[in-house]
Amino acid sequence: MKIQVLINGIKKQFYTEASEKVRDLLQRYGIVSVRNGCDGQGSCGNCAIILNGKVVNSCLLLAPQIDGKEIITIDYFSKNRELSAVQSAFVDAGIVQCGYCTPAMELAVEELLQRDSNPTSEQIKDALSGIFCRCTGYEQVFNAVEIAAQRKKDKNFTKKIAPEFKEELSVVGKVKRKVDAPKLARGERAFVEDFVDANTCYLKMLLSPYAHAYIKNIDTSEAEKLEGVVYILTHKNCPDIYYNQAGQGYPEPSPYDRKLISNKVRHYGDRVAAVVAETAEIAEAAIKLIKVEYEILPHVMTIDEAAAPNAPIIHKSKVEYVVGAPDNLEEYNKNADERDGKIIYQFPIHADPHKNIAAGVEGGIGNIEDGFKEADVIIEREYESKQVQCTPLEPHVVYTKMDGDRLVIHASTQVPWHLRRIVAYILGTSENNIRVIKERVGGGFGAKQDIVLEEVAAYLTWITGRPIFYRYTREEEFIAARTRHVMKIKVKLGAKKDGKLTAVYMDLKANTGPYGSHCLTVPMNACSKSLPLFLCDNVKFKVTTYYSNIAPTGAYQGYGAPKGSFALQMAAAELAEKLGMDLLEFLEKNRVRDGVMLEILRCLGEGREGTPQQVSSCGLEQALKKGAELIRWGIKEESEDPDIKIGKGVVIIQQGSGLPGLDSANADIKMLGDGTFMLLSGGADLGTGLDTVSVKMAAEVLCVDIEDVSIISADTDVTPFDVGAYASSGTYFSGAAAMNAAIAMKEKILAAAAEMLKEPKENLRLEKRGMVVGKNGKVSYKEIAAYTQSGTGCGQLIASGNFTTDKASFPYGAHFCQVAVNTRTGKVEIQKYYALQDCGTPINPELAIGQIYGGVLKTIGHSLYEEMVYNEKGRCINANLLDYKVPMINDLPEDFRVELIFTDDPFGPFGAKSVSEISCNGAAPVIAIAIHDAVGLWIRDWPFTPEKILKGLNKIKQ
Amino acid sequence: MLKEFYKPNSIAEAIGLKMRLGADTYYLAGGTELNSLDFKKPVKYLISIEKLGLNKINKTDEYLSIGAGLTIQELIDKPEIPKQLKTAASHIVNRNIRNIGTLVGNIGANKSCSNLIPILLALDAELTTATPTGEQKLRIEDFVKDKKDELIVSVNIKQKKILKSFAVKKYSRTANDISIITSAVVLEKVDNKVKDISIAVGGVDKCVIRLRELENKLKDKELRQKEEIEGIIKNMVNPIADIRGSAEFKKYMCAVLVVDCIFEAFKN
Repeated sequence: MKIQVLINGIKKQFYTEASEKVRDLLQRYGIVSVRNGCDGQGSCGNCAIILNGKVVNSCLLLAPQIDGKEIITIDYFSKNRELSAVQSAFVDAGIVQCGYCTPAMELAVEELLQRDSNPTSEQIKDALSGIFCRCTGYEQVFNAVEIAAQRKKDKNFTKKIAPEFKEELSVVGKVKRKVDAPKLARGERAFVEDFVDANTCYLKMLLSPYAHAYIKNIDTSEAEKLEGVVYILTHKNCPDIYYNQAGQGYPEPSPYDRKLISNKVRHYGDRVAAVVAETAEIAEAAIKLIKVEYEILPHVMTIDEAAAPNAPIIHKSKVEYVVGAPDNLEEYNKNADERDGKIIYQFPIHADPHKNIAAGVEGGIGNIEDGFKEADVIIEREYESKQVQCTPLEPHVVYTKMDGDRLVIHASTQVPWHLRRIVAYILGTSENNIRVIKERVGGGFGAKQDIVLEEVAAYLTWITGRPIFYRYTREEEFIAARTRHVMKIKVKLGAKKDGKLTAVYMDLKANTGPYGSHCLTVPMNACSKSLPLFLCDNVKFKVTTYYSNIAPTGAYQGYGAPKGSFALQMAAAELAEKLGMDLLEFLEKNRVRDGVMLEILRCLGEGREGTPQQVSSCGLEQALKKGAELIRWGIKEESEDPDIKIGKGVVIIQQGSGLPGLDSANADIKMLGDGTFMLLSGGADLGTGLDTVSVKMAAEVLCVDIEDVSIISADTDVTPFDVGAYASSGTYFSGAAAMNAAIAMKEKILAAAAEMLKEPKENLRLEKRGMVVGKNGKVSYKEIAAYTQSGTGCGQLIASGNFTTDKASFPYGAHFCQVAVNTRTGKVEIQKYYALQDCGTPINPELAIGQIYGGVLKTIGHSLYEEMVYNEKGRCINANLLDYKVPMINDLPEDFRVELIFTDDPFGPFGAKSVSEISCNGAAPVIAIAIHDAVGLWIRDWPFTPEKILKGLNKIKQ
Repeated sequence: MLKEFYKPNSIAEAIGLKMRLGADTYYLAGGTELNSLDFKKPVKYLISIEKLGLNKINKTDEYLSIGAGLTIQELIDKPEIPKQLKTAASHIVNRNIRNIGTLVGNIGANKSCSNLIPILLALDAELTTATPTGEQKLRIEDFVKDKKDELIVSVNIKQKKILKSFAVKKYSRTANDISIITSAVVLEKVDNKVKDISIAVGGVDKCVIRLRELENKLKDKELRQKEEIEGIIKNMVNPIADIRGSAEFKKYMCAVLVVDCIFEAFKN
């Protein structure tokens, strides 16, 4: 049928099917800014358009519904490359992170400002009520709307949106535009899906309908006959290569326990057959023609079920070790079932897969028994949590194609180099034959630290020569991407009457699901990022990770630390209560502080021996003091409503800044013909602002503005190696590499200027903007570029920088909150949430604040609302954004504040430490502690649903 | 699979199409229900109500008649719409949905978690539907209970009902979540006694229901203690356990919401 539409002021006619969704039609027309985050459920609003003046979801509209109407997308406001008032306000307020939802949010604000030029907070919330953003925590959007409203009247309007740091520096620590934000605010092509060529094939996966089964027989003959089917991959024609999908430094502590497709399925949604076809519809039709005969096995979902004496075994595999094989390996392998294939360990991780144990570790300092003997008070508690999903708005996606004999992978990944290494290994080729280009990432949160779908598309392009596009559905994102490890943590604490801790014991059991991605390191991190917060001479921990048939787990912002933090901070609060001691006083008495040596880290290396570290900077004292004042700690608040009880909580948190001794980052910088710079960074910006960090580092060292430095990052052909964006390494490692490259460039500039000015280098200094000044004269970078790049010059100035270190810098923080618990409905309202965080020198203050808001709101969601629910067959039955229950703008705490606590770290670049992941460690324990303060109930299992609270209050049956 | 999309210009044309096209044919308003993933029925033909002019509001001494094609946002924005309906409409938190979802779509989808149906049930609203034999009036309660699929033209509420005291509540886990339990109460108080009361709840049965037994127990009496009424409600409803909550929890929450509605309406 034919329809006529006015799109962004242009009359257009379309021939369309009645069933075509408007989002698809607009994308077909070339408007990429209408994004798909929920597969047409209408729950994410990322596909928003303005239809006849109202913001609506284009995924819920059929093409005939827009016949004769007017549509406006963000592209309308992006004329002549100028940013509109709303777009520039979004950029300047620091609300553009990954940028996937940005066009939708901007449209909602455009429409709001049409209705009311001076909207209230409630109106802003209402305008944005339908748009899901997982990155930003929404809070800065209130600033953005205010700026936009004012800029509509006065385009030069500005507002201070964040504090600035380090007066002596000109760009570091200052509020500057995020370098990729304008592009994202304009809704331009930026993500993998925006670069797919016209003749591309589609890949769809036949997923297991069972949680645990052998594939007895698979018949693809009918599917192969379907016209347009290019290739079908099953366990029968799949390479016999075992690998792990975890994007970790090689050799990885994660076991090689999977193939591309195996003859055993280990979770609902596991791979059974991959179909490549000319269109997505043909691939889907072919999947329906594949006949599979399964031998269904009993499945295990919980840690207790996995650890039970006669539990079904997930990997009864033959075990191999690259190094460190135990003496009894031959005997061990006699119990293996051939159908379960192999597991290859790069080195021992104390696994016993025939008992479902994927990994284990234990260690400690001092003497734990003596510690408990010394104690006047001992408590022992167990803490649990449900499985939560990362929910990036852009699901996992990849586009693979051949360029001659080389494979090109357009990826939405945090780990381009690990991706290249793993794909090369599976393909049996060398790394020089593969190029990975990281496009803008529409939300990563750790889920994109793993190679979740890229290797299948890569392999199939490699053998068929065809370009392939593969994008997860939202359901696949839940059942076959990455989630946080489920954990059950027992904590035993001993203390003297005065509150001084004498012994800390943590027994942690984790559920890694079907495969061992990060199975040692995530649970271990739960210990290594929580135990060092308390100074105690006797500390012991034990970690055991189990396989099961739940949806796959892996990295998720915080990397185990949110769970360790929940257990230990809760136990500390419970101990303080038993001691009759104020919690803040208890924390103050036992907390880590500047300069102390953290001996416990000796036993907490990533699968190898760790190194004790001295605390180089710690802002906890100031954070606790300021937070206590803000929340009026110690003052009991009362509600006028007798059903509502108010309580307060406080926790201390920490994380790391990359992995000293393991991580490595590199950058190159080139001086261009006019004295500006091109920075080539290995760092993978996943929306956090890492590119901006790197540019600022270089600009600061070289005494230029950030506009004088452009950046290309995370392209394995163009930029140097970087381990990737994980473990909170971005600023500390990749940023420092950029700084070191700039320092090397500075030396070269000085050497060239010395020649030109005929003065010794020692007499010269850099001056803003792009000058070298000596005693006798000065020379500009432009002149230096002309001099060095001329026929008689030394050649273009190109410098490299690397960053590795054995020094650790820990970010710290204190989170305070005040909750109102309705004892009649069990509902918990967060009245106040104050996150006070020390990230050293905040390189991008407004973006650092945004990272913290985002991390906190995400984990408020985990704490109060989110959980994956399974049915008796092991299928996740709420695998969509609505039923899974993510927090949106109307779930914001009433009073939500972030305070950056400045410390000047001696090791981080310009004194910086990491900021994002740590923000996820406070919400669960601080909310639970506040709930206890309100109603006297310790809830030791998150999410803290009204149902659990009502049960605890004996309002409904246990 | 959708085969054809029709945009008739008159109600008669729309009804004719519906009859002619037969099974798997649906009227389409905004599409937030029908076009969403949530809709699992096979849809062959859609008949848009867009051009049928179902967005008028008429006021007589006896009735307020609301065009069924009004969007949920229009229910909030239009001054002629009474507060009780505005409050219920605002419980649909997602503005993108409210901007295109309609009154008729919400009633037609007939979900137990509907935010609009409970207050309409409590107000004893009547629906004007279009049938091949002409316009018909039927009680919304019958429409909901019998899962009817006639074209709803307007929703009619007696003016005297609008004047009565009311309360509308919902419980959901997040702000944007589908309502797990909903409750609406319309009440008339005389001499500190409940003269007349209508109570509707959602989320505890296959569709939104009236709690007539409870209404009868409360009528013409002084208001009983909260706990006592809650006890009666818990014995009256039998929700099922699902991912939104256990049966016990839903039963409890239903009792709490209804009682809170009753007391709020009584106080007003």
